[in-house]
Amino acid sequence: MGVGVMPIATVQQPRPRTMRRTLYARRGLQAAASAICFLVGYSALQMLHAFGRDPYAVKALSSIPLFARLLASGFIAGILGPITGAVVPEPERRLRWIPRTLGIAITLFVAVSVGFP
Amino acid sequence: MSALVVRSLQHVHGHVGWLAALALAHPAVLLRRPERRVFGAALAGTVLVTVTALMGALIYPSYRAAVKPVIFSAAPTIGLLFERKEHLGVAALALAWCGLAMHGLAHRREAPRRDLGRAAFVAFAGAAFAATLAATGGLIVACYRSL
Repeated sequence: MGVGVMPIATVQQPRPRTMRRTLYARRGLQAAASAICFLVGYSALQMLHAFGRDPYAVKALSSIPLFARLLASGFIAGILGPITGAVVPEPERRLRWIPRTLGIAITLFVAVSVGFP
Repeated sequence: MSALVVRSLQHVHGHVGWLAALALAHPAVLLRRPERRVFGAALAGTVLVTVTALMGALIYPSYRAAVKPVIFSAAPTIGLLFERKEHLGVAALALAWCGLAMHGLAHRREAPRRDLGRAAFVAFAGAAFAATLAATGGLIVACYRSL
């Protein structure tokens, strides 16, 4: 007489390898995009400040301009970075662009900081 | 905050800032081989730069009220150097956290380790560069005038 075995339906199958790879690539893209948005946003706000054209929304964040720019760039990065990382197609291929793009953002930031203190 | 506390914080901020610059250079050097696991060094550098930034943010309002006007009236170049140092410190902080996140993701199972490791290398190298420039600027300003 055979023994009946009830299948356990709730056990989750492990995610396929490629799906996990894509997920981590997308998370990496989101982190890198946040950093790039922060650096570019801060540089843009810094240039506006140097020309005396601080946006009202940024001024309202703090009475100290440095802290206001920091908070505003943080908001920009916190919103735009994850969205950009989430909507970009082919995250594994795009991830290869990150070192160069991050390098360009760092160069831009240093140039703006030195040129427009 | 009392003047003594602010002065003490300023000294600690300067020393920890140099430590942070060195600590951020460590993962950058190690990650020349992007698949290497250097989570301890990456975490130490990131924590140190975060502590430095927090101390800097605590003493900045006092500096702005007491020292900045004096420096700008006597030596505007030094005053502008201080402003540049602040921006570079912000970049070091952001890049260190980005590098830590990328490195943490790189060592998850089946993650694209090489590409994430390369991105973490660029982030830590940028953070170390910005932190070193910021620490040098801070040292020059502190030699000229401090709280």
